[in-house]
Amino acid sequence: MQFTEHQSRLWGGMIEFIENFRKGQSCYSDLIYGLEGALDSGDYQNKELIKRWYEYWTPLEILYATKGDSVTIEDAMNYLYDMESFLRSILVED
Amino acid sequence: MDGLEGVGAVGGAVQEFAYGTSTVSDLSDLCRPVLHTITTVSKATEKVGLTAAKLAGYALQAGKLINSDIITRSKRNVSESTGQMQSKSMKIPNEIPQLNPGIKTQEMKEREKRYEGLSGFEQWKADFNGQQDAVDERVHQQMVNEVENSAGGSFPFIGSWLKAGKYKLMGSSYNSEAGKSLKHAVIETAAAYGIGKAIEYTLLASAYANTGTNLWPAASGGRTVINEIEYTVHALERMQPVGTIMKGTTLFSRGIPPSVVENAVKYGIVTPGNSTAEVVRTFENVRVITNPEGSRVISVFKIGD
Repeated sequence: MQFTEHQSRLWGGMIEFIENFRKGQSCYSDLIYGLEGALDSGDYQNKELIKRWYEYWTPLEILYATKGDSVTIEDAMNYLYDMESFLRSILVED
Repeated sequence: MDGLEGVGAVGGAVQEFAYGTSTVSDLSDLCRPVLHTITTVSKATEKVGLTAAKLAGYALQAGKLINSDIITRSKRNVSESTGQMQSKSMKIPNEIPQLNPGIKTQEMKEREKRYEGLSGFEQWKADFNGQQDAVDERVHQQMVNEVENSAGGSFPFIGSWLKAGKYKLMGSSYNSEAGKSLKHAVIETAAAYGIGKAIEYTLLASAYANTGTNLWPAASGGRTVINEIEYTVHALERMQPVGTIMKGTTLFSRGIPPSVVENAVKYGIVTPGNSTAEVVRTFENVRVITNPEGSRVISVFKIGD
């Protein structure tokens, strides 16, 4: 996966969003829409990558749609782990 | 937020005005992106030595003019829309927009002939389906003409200001060259980015009034049932036209009308959700989260363009 410097920074920023939420430094909605905003801003132009990204983001969005900002770290733990692993795997490829 | 997003913000607000469901009483905040665009377009005036502060003054005053017109037009549209819904004989405007009905171009006449016998909604569909860019361009050009030729008519504030020709704003008068740039900025901004888009949304509202087909129901009305499917507020917000709802710097609303959601509910590939209480339905690039029965939509988004 070839990213520009800007795209790599945004991708890394997604991992930071997750870390910030785990540390209690951001609310759940900031995490969810920070992630999606970073994907939009990156303009990745890789349909397969975007499709895979949404596979990991969808469970997180379902949580928000059903619980709002009352989602806890425990609620989202497994989904966040999966998302982070995916994000890191792409960075390694890059 | 760039000018294009501003289009969505203003257009969405006016759409709600047109539906009569808006809780917005002042469009000033929503017009700020338009002001930004004006400032950008007005950069040409720098060559005649205007300061940045004066440019900001231009933008502010022009924005107020546009804002006033949008509000005036929106209120009128609400009134018209209400009247139209009471009358089954309502016809969708033949042209976009048809604000000066006395002026008919050759294109308008040809179009009338071509669409003779079609219902209003059929005409609307023929105009919009699959050619959004072309429609946008036409709206833009017609709105430019409309704003330029309007003096106390369709756009009373802007029209009167243009007619005065002195381009005095914020207590200062400017020379003809600066005035020309400003006039261009106001016309282009009002036509292309603000009011032009608003008219488009108003037309959607007219289609709703004519057919009962609610293309983009407002989220401000709370949970809504359309064609026996209940939409949560969250889902409705996600469905609104692109850029009309922001969360921080993220475009929250994704521009997915109920008909598209219904299609995904009926024909999408169903996969499990996080629990037995919800399922994921994916049709092409549209993903809808519903209850297992498909009678309640929880969230909607696009997985790519």
